Amino acid sequence: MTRDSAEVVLSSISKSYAGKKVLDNLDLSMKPGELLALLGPSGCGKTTTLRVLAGMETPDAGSVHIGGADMTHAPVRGRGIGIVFQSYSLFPHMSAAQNVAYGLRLAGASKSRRGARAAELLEMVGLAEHAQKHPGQLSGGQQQRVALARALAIEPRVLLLDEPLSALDAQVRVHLREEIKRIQLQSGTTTLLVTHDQEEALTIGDRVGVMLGGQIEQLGTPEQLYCTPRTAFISEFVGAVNRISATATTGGVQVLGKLLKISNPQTAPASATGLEALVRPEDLVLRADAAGAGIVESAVLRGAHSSIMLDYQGRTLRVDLPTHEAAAFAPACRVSVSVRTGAVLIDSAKTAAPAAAPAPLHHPALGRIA
Amino acid sequence: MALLERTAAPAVQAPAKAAERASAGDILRTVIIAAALLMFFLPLVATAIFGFSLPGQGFTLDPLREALAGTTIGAQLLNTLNLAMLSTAGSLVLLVPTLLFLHLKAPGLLRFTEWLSVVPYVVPGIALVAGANLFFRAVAPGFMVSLYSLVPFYMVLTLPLVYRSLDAGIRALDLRTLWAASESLGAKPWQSIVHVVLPNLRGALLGASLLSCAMVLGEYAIAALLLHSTFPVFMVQVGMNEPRAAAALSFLTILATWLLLAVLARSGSGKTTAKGGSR
Amino acid sequence: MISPTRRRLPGWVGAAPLLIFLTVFLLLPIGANIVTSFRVKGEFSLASMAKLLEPQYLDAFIQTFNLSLLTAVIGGAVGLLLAWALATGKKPAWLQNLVMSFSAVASQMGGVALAFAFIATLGVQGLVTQLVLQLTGWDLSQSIQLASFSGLVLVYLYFQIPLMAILMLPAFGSLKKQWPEAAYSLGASRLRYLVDIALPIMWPPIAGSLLLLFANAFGAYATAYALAGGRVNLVPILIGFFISGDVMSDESFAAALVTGMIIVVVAAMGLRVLVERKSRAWHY
Repeated sequence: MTRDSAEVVLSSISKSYAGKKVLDNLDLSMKPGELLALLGPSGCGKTTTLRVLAGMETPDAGSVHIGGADMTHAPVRGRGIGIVFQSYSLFPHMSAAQNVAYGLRLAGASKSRRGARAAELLEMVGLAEHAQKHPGQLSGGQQQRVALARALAIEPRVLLLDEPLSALDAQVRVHLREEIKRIQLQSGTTTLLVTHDQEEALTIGDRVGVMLGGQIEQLGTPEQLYCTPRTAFISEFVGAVNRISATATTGGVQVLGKLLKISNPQTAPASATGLEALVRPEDLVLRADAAGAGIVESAVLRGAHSSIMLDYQGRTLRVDLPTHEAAAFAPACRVSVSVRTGAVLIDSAKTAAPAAAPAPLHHPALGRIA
Repeated sequence: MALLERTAAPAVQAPAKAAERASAGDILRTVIIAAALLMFFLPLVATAIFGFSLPGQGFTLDPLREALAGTTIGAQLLNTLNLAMLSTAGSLVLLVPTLLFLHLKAPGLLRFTEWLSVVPYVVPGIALVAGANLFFRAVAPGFMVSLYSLVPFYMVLTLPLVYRSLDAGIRALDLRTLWAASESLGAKPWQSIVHVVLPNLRGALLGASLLSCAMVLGEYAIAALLLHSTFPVFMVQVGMNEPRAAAALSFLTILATWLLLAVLARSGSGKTTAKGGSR
Repeated sequence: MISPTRRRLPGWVGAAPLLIFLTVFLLLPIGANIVTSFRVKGEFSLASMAKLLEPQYLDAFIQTFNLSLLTAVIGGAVGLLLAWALATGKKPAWLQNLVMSFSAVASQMGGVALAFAFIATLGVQGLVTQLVLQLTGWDLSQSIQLASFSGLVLVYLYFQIPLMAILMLPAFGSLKKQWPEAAYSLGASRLRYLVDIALPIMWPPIAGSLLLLFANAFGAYATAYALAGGRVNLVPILIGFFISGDVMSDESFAAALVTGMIIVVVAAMGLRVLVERKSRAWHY
C-alpha cells in the first residue's frame, strides 16, 4: 500500500438542519499533503464541513471529491479517511495498541504486521511504553496521541482533526499541536483541522480558512490572514487590533494625521465619516513627545515584546514593541503615535469597542514568543 | 485505486439506503415503545374496569363496598400508614446523622458503610423473616408480638435505596466546604446542620422518604408471615373471595405508588431505583 | 503521631449505630438461621442441608431456578430492547417520561397488587379473558393459567422487563457517539461495530443486570404466593409454609431452605460484582 495524499474538493455544499442553513454554498479545496485549518466561532459550520467530508453528514446539495473521485454519497468507511475527535473516541475496552491496530484488523492485516505497525505508530507519537494501557489509564493528551496514531494506522488519504486539542490543558495543547504538525509533515497526509482557537490555526496550518455563517470568509496562508485580512471580522478574529477613527479623503484615509491607502476597497464602507481604521498593535509607533496626544497608562510584559497601553483622545490604544524599548515609556509619559504601514483596513465605527483584543499574539511568521 | 472502484458502486444507492435504514430504526423503536406501553397499561386498565364495574352495570363501587362491609380496613390502612411513616422516620434518623458524620469526620469509612448498605440486597424479605423469627423468638420472645416490630425490618429492606439516595444528595453538596463556611461564620454544629445542611438536603430527604414509603406500602411477605395485619395482608384476605374488590384496592395501591414515584421524579432525585423489595 | 487508633476511634463511633442496627436486625437473624440449618438436636449436622437434595425440595430449587432464569433472560432481552428504544432516536419528551415513570412504577410494584391486577386481566373472570371468550370463543384462562409456572413467568415479566430497562438506560447513555463514527472511519461495518465495540463494552452491565433480575425473581414471595399459593413448587413459598406452620415444623430444615436460597442469591449478586468490576477500569 502506498501512501497517496489525496486532493480534496468540496463544491457548492449546502446543508440545513430544521430549516437553519448551516453550510451555504460552500466551496473548499485542499492540495495534496497540505494542512488546512478551518477556523471560526462556534456555529459557523466548520464542524459540519468536516462531517460532510467524512461522510457522517450528507449534504443537501453540492459534491465531495477525494482524490478525483465523487464521494458525495460514499459511506464513511469507503472514503479512506482517518478521524481524530475532540475527546472520548478511543474504545475503552481495548488497550492503546489494540486501538491503534483495530483499523488494520478490519483490513485483514496479519497479527504480526498489526503489532509491528501499532508499535511503530505509538513510537511515533511518543507512547511506546504505554502500549498496553487502557484509555482510562491515560491522560487526556495521551489519549489524543493514541487517537492520532489510530487514525494514521490505516494510512488514510485524508486526515480529519475535529477540535482535537480543545479538551486539553493549555500547556499540553501547545506541545501537542507542534507534535501534530511534525507528524503531519512526516506522513504527508492531506489534513483538515477544525478549531476555534486562532493561535492553533495560525501556528500549524499551511493555509487557514476562516468561516462565518456557513461560508468561508477568507482562505489563505497565516501571513495573508494576519497581515492582509479581507474584512474587519477576520482582522479582529485572528489577532489583536486597535480601532482608530479615520476620515476618508481622496486617494485614501487620514489616520493619525497620515494619509494611508485602503487595503480593503471591496468591503470598506462607502461613507466618508464614521469610519475606523483597524491597526495591529505592532504597526503603531510611539515617540516620547511632551506635546503628544497620548498618555501612557501601563505596560504589560509579554516576553520579548511588551504592550504599552495608552490613552489616546479618550480611547485606549495598545502598542507592541520590543521589551528593551518599552522601558522608555513609563506611565504618565506623554507620547505621539503614528502608523508604520502604508495601508489599513477600514470598517464603519463601532461604539465603545475595546481597543485591545483578548489573546496575546504569538505567530511564528512574525517571530513572536509567548 | 482499488478503493475508488470499491466505493464507486455503493455511492449511488447509499443515500436512499441510509434514509430507509434510519426510518426503519425509528419504526422499530416506535413499535417497541408502543408495545411496552400496551403491555404496561393493559393490566392496569383491566384492573380498574374490573374493580369498579359489574357486568351490565357500568361504574360502581358496590363490589368494593360489599367486600369492605364489616371489615376493619380503616385499621389496616392506618397500620400501614403508621408503619410507612415510622420506618421512613427511623431510616432518616439513623442514616442522616451517620452519613453526615462520616462524610465530615471519617470519609474513609464510607466505603465500608456503603458495602454494608447493600447487604440487604442479597437477603430476600422471606429469608429475613425466617431468620428474624428464629433469632427473636429465642432472644426476645415478646418483641415480635407488636405491630411495630416490623419497623426495623422495613428499615433494613429499604436501606439500600434510602442510603444511596441520601449519600448521593450529600455528595452533590460538597459538604466539607459548606461546613467549613458555616463554622467560619461562627455557627455551632447543630446550627450548621439545621440552618445549612438540612435545607440543602431537602431534595435527597424527600426522595429517600418517598422511596421508603412506596416500598412499605406494598410490603407483604414480612407482615403476613409475622402475622401482622397490614393493608397488603388485608388485600390478600379479601382477594381470596372477592376478586373485584381486590382489583379495586390493587388499582388504588398502584395509583398511590405511581403518585409517590412521580413526585420523586419531579424532585429530581429518582435515579436510585434499582430493586423492588416487596414481592 | 500519638496513636492511629485514637484518631480512627471517632470514625468508628459514627459508623457504630448503623453497624449495630444491621447486626441486630439483619446479620444476627441471618447468622442464627445459618447456624440453625447446620444443627440438628443441638449437634452439628449436615442432615438438614442434605435434605435439600431430596426430590421434592430439589425440585423446588430447580423450579425456582428455572423461573428466575427464564424471566431474567426473556425480561432481560425485552428490557434491553426497550432501553435501546428509549435511549436512542428522537421522540417526544412526554412519551419518554411516560415510559420511564411507568417503568419505575412497574419495576418497584408490590407483588400483591400486581398479582390481583393480572387476575383481573387474565383470570377466569378477567376482563381480557371474557372479552376474548366473547369474541372468539377461546378461553384464555385455560391456555394461560396464572396459577402455574408459565403464568408466573408472564406476571414476573411485568416487573422484570421495566427493571432491566431502567438498569440498562445508563449503560446506553455511556456509549459515546464518537465510537461508531471512529469505527466506521477505520473501516468497520455496522455489524463489525456491534460485534467488536458495542457488545464488548455493553456485556458487563448486561450480564450484571441479568444477574440482578435473576436474584430478584429468586427471592420473590408475594406475587407467587398471591397468584399460585402452593400450586407451584417454589422455594420462597415452601419457606413461607414452614414459617407460618402450614407444614410439619422442622426448624432446622426450614433454616436450611433459607440458607440454600441465600447461597443462590449471594452467588448471583457476587458474580454481578465481579462482572461489573471488570468494566470499571475501562471508563475514562
